[in-house]
Amino acid sequence: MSSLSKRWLAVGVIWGVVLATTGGNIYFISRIQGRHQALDSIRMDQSYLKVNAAAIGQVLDRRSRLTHRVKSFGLGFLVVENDLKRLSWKFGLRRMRLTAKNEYPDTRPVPIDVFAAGPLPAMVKWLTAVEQACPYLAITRMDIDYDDRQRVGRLKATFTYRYSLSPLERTG
Amino acid sequence: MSRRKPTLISIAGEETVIFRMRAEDGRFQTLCSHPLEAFLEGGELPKVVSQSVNRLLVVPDYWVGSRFDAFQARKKSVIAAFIERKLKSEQPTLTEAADFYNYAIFDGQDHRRQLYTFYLQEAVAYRLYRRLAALGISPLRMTTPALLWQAKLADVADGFSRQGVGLIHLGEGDCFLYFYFKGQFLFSRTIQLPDTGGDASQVYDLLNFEINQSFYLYSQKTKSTVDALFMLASDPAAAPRLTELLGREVTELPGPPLPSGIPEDGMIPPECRIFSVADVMRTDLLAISYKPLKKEMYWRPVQWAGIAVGLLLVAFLAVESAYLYSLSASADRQMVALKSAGAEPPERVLQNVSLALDEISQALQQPSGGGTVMRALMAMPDAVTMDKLSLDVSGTPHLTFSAVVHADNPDTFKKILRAFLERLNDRFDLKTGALLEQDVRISLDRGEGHEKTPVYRIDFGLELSS
Repeated sequence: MSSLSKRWLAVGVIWGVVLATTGGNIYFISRIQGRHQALDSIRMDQSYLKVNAAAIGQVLDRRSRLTHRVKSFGLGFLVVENDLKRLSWKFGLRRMRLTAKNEYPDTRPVPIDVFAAGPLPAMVKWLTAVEQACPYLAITRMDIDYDDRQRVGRLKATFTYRYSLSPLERTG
Repeated sequence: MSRRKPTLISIAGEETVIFRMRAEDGRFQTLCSHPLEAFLEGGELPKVVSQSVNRLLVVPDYWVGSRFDAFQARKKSVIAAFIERKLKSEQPTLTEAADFYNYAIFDGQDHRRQLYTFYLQEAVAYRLYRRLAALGISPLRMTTPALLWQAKLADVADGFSRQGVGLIHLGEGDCFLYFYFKGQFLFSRTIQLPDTGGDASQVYDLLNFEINQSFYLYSQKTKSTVDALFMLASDPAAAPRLTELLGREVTELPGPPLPSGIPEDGMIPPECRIFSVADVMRTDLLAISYKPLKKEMYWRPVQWAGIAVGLLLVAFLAVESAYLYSLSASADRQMVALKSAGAEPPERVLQNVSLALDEISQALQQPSGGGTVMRALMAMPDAVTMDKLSLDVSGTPHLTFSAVVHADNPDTFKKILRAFLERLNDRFDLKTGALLEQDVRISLDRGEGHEKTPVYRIDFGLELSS
């Protein structure tokens, strides 16, 4: 290889390094820009969370009330059954019966059927009280048959029971 | 530290080749000389010579041929192609001549552009170049005494490039005649002076004859005459004497004639002894360079500039790269610190909040079971008794209602029904618009116990807005 060619090769290599370094620097610049944007975004998010901490806490608290945190479905259902029956006694409903369709473990939410009988005003009060006391029970279907002669209504309601298991205690 | 290679010049005569190196005081000193033929056959050189840069090779005038052509083109590639084609066709034995030529363009007679081409025409010149190349001291340029004089005369002779000029260089035992046409070397002659034992008249007679012969040759070659004649001689009376003999003005060249950078050295060809260091080192000297070497010399400054600028840029960009890397690392550290400061990344918290709002909104949109029943019951007039009520919120909330209306006659029933529907429409936000009488299925129950008083049974469904 002639010295002319060798020098051209050297020029090519050096300028190749120049181009590669330029490319690398462009990459660094875009990376730094990206990092700074991400940092700004995180700072803004943190600032927003700090300013709105109380409101966010309320939202999260309200959401947590929509799900019943239990150690197991059985224990949760026991609480639900107890609460619903306690309310039924309070408002004068009779013969309350609850059945859960928990066919598959760990399937959430679980439908719960409720059967009861009693005066219509008692049913309305009971339904309202359940919605207040147990926000994790959402009604999906309700049938009320009313016997005008005996002035007694028969309620069949299906609730959706939203629950979550506490860690390490996922047993039925 | 890299050290500049020492400068070497080489002078080839008919029988010898001499190598001279520039000393620290700027003068040239002879390092070695070799018989030409022996050197061409493989003579060795001192190490210092082979480690030098051979800047110039001076060869006898007759080793270089020349030609004049009328040529209008100015483009270098066209000129080069023309010369190479001419050399190939007219000098077929000089197969390498296309790599050993140079040219100059000047205004010839009637101001027509002339191309002056000169090239190596002696085989020994090519052999010498190859030998020097093999020793690693290829001459960067090759010239002749006549071309050295051409550069020198351009400085000292007025109108040199516009007229025919002759130069008489009278030495001790030789006289050299050089003739130039409009600034370009035409031909030279060497005259051996006879030993006359102190009688100079014979020498001047001989010179008179030879110069007149040369004038004739000049006029044959150029169809013009020599306009000015210059002389260089150690004897100040030489020029006036030749003026008298020739019958025309012979001008003595101005300046000291022999401030020679080349000392009186018997090995140096006599025609070369007159030239100073400045003469041989000048850059505007007409010379021949080996074409690939010339190309290399042409591109060398470009390449070194490219290398230097490239290295500077690499250094600058490397510093910039290091700075950017430190900035990037700093940003990474800040990112890690921010992320580790909070228990949960802010974006995840916000995502949770968003999901929570969705769930809350969904829960709020679901109609209340107790509220729905209560509103339906409160909408019922006293004459209406509920029979059955169903609420399905698995999809779009849908309420179906069956009731019994106690009315004495159809008109009363209509009034009761209208009142019931008005109350319902007031209490419920219905998705499909207000509930009308035609949306209600009505049947008459004449069962047991209702034979005399008819019982109107109504059924309807409502699409509730979520």
